[in-house]
Amino acid sequence: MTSPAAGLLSRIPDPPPELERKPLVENLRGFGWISDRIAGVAEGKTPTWWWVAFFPSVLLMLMCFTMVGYLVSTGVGVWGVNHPVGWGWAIINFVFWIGIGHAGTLISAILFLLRQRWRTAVNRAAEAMTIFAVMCAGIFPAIHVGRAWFAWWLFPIPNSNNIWPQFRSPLMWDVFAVSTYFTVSLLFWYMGLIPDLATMRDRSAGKIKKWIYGFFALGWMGSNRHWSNYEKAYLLLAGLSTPLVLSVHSIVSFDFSVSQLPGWHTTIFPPYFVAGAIFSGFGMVLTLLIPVRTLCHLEEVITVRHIELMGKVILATGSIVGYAYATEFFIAYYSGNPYELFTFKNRAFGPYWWAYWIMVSCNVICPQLFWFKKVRTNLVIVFILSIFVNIGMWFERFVIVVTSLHRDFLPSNWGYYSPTIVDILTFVGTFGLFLTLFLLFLRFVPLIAIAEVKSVIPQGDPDHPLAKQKETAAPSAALASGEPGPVSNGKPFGLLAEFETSADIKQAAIKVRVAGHKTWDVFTPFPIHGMDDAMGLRDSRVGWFTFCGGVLGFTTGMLMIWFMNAFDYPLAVGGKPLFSPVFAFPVSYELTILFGAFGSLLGMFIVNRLPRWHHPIFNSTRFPRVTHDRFFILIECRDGKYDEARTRQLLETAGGKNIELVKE
Amino acid sequence: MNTDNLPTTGTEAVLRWTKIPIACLLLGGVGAAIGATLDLRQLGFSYLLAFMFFLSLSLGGLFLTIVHHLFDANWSSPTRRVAEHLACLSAVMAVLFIPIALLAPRMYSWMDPANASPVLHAKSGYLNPGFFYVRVVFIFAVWIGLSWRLRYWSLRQDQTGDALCTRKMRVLAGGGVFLFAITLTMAAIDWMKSLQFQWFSTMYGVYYFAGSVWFTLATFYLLAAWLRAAGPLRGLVQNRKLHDIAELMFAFTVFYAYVHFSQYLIIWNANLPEETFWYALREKGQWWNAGMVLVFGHFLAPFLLLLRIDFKLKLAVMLPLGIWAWLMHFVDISYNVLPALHLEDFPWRWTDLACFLFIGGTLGLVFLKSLAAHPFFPLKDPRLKESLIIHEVPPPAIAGQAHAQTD
Repeated sequence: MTSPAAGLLSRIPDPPPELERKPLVENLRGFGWISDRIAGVAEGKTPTWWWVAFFPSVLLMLMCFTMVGYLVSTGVGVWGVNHPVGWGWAIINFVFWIGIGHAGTLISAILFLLRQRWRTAVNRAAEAMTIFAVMCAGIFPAIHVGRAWFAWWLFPIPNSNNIWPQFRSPLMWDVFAVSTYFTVSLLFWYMGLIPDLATMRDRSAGKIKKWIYGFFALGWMGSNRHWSNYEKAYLLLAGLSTPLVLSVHSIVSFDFSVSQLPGWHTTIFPPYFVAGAIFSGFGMVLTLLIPVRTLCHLEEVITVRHIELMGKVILATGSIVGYAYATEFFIAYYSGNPYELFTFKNRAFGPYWWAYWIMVSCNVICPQLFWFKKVRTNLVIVFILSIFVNIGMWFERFVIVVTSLHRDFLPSNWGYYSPTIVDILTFVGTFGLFLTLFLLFLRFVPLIAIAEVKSVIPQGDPDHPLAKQKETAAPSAALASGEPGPVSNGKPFGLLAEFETSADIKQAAIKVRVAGHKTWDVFTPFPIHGMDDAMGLRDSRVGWFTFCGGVLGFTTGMLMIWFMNAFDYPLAVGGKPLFSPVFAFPVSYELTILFGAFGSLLGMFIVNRLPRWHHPIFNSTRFPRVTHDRFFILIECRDGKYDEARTRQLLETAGGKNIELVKE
Repeated sequence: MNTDNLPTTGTEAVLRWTKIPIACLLLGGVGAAIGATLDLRQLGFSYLLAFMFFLSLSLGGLFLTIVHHLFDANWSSPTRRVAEHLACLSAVMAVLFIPIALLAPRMYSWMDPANASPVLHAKSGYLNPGFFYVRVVFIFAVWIGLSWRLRYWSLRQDQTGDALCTRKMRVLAGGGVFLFAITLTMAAIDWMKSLQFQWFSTMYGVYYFAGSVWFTLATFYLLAAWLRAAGPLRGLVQNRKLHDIAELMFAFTVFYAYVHFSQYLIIWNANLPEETFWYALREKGQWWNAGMVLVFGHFLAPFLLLLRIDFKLKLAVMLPLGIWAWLMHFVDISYNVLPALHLEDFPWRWTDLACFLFIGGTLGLVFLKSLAAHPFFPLKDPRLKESLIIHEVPPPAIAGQAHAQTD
């Protein structure tokens, strides 16, 4: 390093020992150990605890479906909703579950953008949780419309009277926001899974299993040319998901705040709902992962440091929620509007005072305990507090929905809302659905992002002193068998060399590049930083696909709303103009993100020419270890400078082992 | 202190520029004095506009410092001292508040004892002159206390390198972030929102915060780039650091738009007269244009520019964008402050410029002096080393090294 910083660097003292950062994976575990331990959860015999958890969950799920069937066949009269509280548990549960679903995308997207590397241990499970939580949430609006068979009126197609849905309603925005959120979360989750599915493919012994994992892995082989585009697409998806996460709960908050009802109509609702959603989502992540890390023996990957950091996020978001509660109360007074003030006084001291104080104590007061390190590192206490968070956030939605409605402007319209047994059982049943899906996820998919965890350990950083440390553990049976694959007599495809550490492969890549080779590639279990520069790759072009997708989405949204509500069937609602970019914005925004996300993923596939299930490199029997703990370089025969003897010598001097000629 | 650690070229390079703020200060001071003899109410608004504009820098600096400690960040270590100095301008802001304190009865119609508005009566428990001045004292006490204590421990760590200093700063940041949120909200409500006391919005504190941090980050980028080019932070502010600041600025571009759009949409859609009047006034005449400038200039243009990764490192883009951010934040604060004074014609008067120069010059002078008086970066920050380690070796270095080996 020639920069002046090099001189400075030697003069800057090391941090005092007590301030040194704790490792993200304990006990200096290597690549192979990480694969074995994490993939092992989804392999082998199903443990007893899994069945013990699975059966009650399935029963609860069936109860949920039964209740939904009963509701649809009988009518919403089986619920407690009535005059004046027309929005009851269904809406509360919808907002609650959507909120739970916010932690996943926050961990995967926002923490990724903030370069919080600890996210790697928890993002996969949290993303899965997001998807399942949004599924639970999606049930409620669909059945809340009363005649569930008319739910398709929410889609942007003309109904039986040839009228389009009207886009001034925030409920329409919700449809777009939630379905975009679900789709993009699923894409993001799947994209993150691709390298790990390849790991599962290479590890599985059974033919059917191998075929299924292989099918979904799309022929992933850890090529650095692929990683380069993959990482760019991942970054872009993270960039799209971040404003998406903010927008989804903001739009949910618009359901309330764009109305005129005191207690609902307040401008701080969007960021306040978002903070609350993240808060509740992290609560649920902790509730699930604290037991899972013990049951699956993942204490060295999901460390106490991870739990502590999540505790801090809960503290921060809980405090933001507290700020919003206080501001709401203060502005209710400051507005000088007697109805506003009445609503808030009524919340705290009226018939639902108990709900309000449960909310305040669970959401604002409890998290303050996380100021203390002793609390953050005591897993039992963290677990209990995380459950308080879940309870508190459910009550927040209860307070917002019910207390604002039960006192109308006319005192003769006042009432008291209580749920029926159907309300309660439906809600409890959704936990069954959620847990069933989560348990299935644990058994079939790696619950932690294997490739990502490998990239954050010291051995994964080629410039780190520990990068030269060699793997000592033997690989699992399926990988080490070394049986010859299908005998191939095809023409030679290229020379493949194996390397043992990330430092070796980076140095070797530099040598191959300097030797002037063009048609060659590096294969690694995880993206290695600086490898693109070492190989001399240019910046990925995936961004252009995203940008075009985004522009197309925004234009589509604006034109669609103008066409449906102002041109084809002009619909005057609420004294609003037939078309205005103000109300068309939320939906257009969601479509921007949706199309941009499709653009990123498709762009990555197009640039990488994936899926490609058959590649000559898979003929090598040593190559499957590329998804485990080994690094490879392949120089293809069609490269201009290829010469079998000289190329072999180059790879040997670069430190390559087990050099073999791969055939087509 | 070990002077070996200090890049020695820095101090002169910084102090060389003090003439400019002195000139601004004098010119603006004379202008403001003349303005005072002509129209005190107008001067009050001009002064408040410039004050709220520059207050953003001090609050933004305090926020960046607090956030650095809360996140245990490393990327902001080399530039942290700059943020600390910005935060410490709060003491100067307190002195500069005196004219507002004196002119307040002419500007805030709720201070008028003859004002018999029933809305005002309902909120007079909060909006009364006595309590207003008590809050002023409280707000400045919090800001000065926090920013000076944070810098005190930071400077002390330069000498001792003690972990205790980091712990102290973390505790200050933890408690401080609550006080920061409360005082910033109060300041935004008291000094800006209450100009039209009938209006209310729970988002308002967040709104002022978002715009302030955005503007601070734009300034922060320019300061970091300048201090790198001028010498004091050479080798410390790597491209990566500038890129990080620009990324954060991008995030706040979006966050500001999100906050402002949400506030607008909620008020627009509910259409309650006690709220919409605030925006209705601003959709007439020149204020409509100012609103459009905010939509396209405060959000869209910076958004599209900062979308490009490479632009975040091009000074040819970032320098004009930084200056543009100053202009946009000025329009934003004007949009909040000035319609309470006059609605019809061109928004700005010459006194606006005079007050801008006066406050800007004063702060600039103090900032440069404090920059030169202390080490330019936290010398023994525990995260500094981590922050400077370059993982990615730049491509030319690879090629050179590899050639050397093959030769």
